[in-house]
Amino acid sequence: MKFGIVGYGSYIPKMRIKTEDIALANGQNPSKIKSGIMVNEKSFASKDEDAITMGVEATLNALLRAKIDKYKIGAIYFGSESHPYAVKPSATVVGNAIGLDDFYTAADLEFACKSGTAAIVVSAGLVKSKMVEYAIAIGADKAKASKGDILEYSASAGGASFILGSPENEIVATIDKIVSLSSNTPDFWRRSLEKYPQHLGRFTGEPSYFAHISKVVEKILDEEDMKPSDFDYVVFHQPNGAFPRSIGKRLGFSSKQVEVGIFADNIGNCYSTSTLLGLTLVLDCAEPFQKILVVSYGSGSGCDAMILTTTEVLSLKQKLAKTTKEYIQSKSYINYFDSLNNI
Amino acid sequence: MFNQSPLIRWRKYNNNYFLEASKCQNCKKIHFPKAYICTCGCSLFDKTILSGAGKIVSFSTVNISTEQFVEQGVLIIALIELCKGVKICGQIVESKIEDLKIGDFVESCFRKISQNGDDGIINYGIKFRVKI
Amino acid sequence: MKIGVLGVSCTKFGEHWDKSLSDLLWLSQIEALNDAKISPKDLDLILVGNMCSGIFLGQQNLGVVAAENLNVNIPSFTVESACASGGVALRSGIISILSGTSDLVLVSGVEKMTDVNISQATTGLMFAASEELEAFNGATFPSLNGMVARSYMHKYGLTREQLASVSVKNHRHGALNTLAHLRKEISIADVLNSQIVSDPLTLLDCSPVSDGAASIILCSEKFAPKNDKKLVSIIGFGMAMDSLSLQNREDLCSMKATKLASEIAYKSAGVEPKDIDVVELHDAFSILEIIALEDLGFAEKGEAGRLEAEGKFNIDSDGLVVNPSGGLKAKGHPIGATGVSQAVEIVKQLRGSCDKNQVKDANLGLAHNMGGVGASVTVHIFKRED
Repeated sequence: MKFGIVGYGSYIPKMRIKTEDIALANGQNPSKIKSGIMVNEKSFASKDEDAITMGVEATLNALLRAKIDKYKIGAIYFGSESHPYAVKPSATVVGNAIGLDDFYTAADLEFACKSGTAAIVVSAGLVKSKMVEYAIAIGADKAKASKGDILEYSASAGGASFILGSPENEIVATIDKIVSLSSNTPDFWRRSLEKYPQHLGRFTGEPSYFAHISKVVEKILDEEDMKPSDFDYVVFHQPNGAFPRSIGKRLGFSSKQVEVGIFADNIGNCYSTSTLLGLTLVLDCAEPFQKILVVSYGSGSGCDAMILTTTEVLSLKQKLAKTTKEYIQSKSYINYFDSLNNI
Repeated sequence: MFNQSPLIRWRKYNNNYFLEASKCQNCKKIHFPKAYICTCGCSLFDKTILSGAGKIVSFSTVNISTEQFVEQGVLIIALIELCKGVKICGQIVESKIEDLKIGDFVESCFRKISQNGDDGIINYGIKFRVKI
Repeated sequence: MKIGVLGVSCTKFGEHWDKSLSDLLWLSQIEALNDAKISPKDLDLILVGNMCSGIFLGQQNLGVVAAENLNVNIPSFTVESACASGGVALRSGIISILSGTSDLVLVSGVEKMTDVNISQATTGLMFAASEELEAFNGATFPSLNGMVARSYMHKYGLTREQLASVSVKNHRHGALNTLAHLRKEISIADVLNSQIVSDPLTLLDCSPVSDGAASIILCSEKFAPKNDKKLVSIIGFGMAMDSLSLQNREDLCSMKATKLASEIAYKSAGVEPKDIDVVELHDAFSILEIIALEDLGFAEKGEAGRLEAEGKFNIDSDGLVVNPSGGLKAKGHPIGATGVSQAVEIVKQLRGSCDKNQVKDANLGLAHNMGGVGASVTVHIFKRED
């Protein structure tokens, strides 16, 4: 049975903080930072925004595109590293905000930066098995990093939402294959009562991000008997602007395939939203019958790799809600010191 | 002085989260969030959902806040006329007061309104931003 | 219909650090009783107008406090209608006499606001507005009035300077009133340059937070002294309500409740606006005086600002004098006390017993008290016997 994405939406907060501002405040060299991690500025959520509010905005956009009977939504899964509550699901606040009635299943997920794609995997299972007609998978984060940490330059905020279903005349992109990888890797973590995450510096690179992504891409291409050139686009998790370009090149993808989904240069790393946001960028401009490889990475660690094929329906739905590019371009700047009072 | 019960907010989630209103079964007048008796005398209503698009009727600032809002700094509070002639009180975000005028078009957005301390329930609701 | 006023009193309004609420209440109760030359056991009923004693002080059941102050067991209870608590308490006293249940009624209003900090006071004041629709969103009383001011200025072209002239006049009157909280004269520039509280309203557009109490002793015709030329009676009264929240109002630039209440009061008194010599109206914020002047029939719609700026309502005016006490702005605004203190001021004006703020030849007076932003309004009309 074919199934896939019937609606998608994103949300990026309006404010931006420049890398220069953070570097000068921390006594670091801005141009070295920029060339190293390829992040010029990042999105910054205002005090009255959190993962839930951004998840709601993204889901409202997804509903605009989906054009379905929302009362047929049978599941909501919400992945985040910054759920406002340790106990009380973000997913049901979203369900209430979009006006659902009571009969749906819901839960919150955590798997570092891949909790958003994890939500897609779970939703896919429920839709494909016909347990539910439609399911919503959300990734949203208001990321925090401690002062002076390199992550301060990239930890940003955003939300993305995908509605999965099976009616062929509604699907904008079929989900053809999912291969996941999970391991127990201490590259990046946050204990439950701690405010900021910790990480093992350079260990988060080769042995973590690069090794896991390489492994899962090799596996999915092998299982589907496909090669990099079979794809029109590839979207990797983007903790900064440098990593996805680097892994793309290493695995044999062209910059033409990689660049469309890149936003980290100007938005930073919105954690659970990251891979999903890259996918929305691609869907906003893709044409029918194009192939997309989506590979997320979440510390701890794991990957969800997915092969999607766009449909003719995509062209009819792209403009029904604000595009990710419109969110990227709609911005105002806040200086670093004001931002410290605005968390 | 005291923390308000989250139940006061819970009863209004549908109104505050997605602008659920009441429509008189007799004259179709819309009341937000609800009325017990319509101006026409009818006391039967259907639920309806309002669009968050509207126009600024008036606005002001809150420079000295109530206890729940002290940490939020200066707020812009406004009366917004939603389509269908219903007015709602809400904050305007992402704008400076000097850039606002009566009659400007706005759209709704879902935001945190307040919370009962760092360990209390978070109160969500609708705020407004200028439509570009 | 005539209700006699036997006695009045008002404490100084301001910051009474050393006095509790029941201290303030007692001071005004005893002074009014002395003014009326009656003793507590002559009374049939005690009423206390108050809004925030529970939330600010942890004490409600003020009717019991008032009765215990005077060592009596007669009926005694609190009346609450936000900032109109005093006016509604007065109305309740009148109705008790008209019903035949009472002959002598002591009506007090009292509020103690300075034991809490500014954000607590701001929170308490918002109990007068809609909790669900306005306070929930972060609105404060000044901001609701700021929206009213902006709307009025937009519709009628009221200038910032014209609006400021209201506070300038009221401060001038307050400087002449020994009981006023604020006794310093101010200028238009002072108002414009003071701290923004809720744009466009500045600190000097807003009444202060005050402690105080006021009392009035009402009597039935049977108990009114005969041949007392200085006896003041209440000859008309009206009350009306409007929606709790501003969003449900038809017009932000007019208070329907004031119009309705005053129409009833004028009709019951058999008088018209042009007959009134002196008025104490509810200027919790400068814009409310502008709007009240029009709603009470003292100015055409859109004209009150110009007339204020021209000094038409000043103490030395030949025509109507507005807020000779200094109004809520300079006299002060202890919420529950205000409505009663307005009545006390009118009675003193009509008796001719005021000091430097005495209005000449005042025969007919009107007191206008408002709860919320025009949500509940009382209007009382007073006349001197001769």
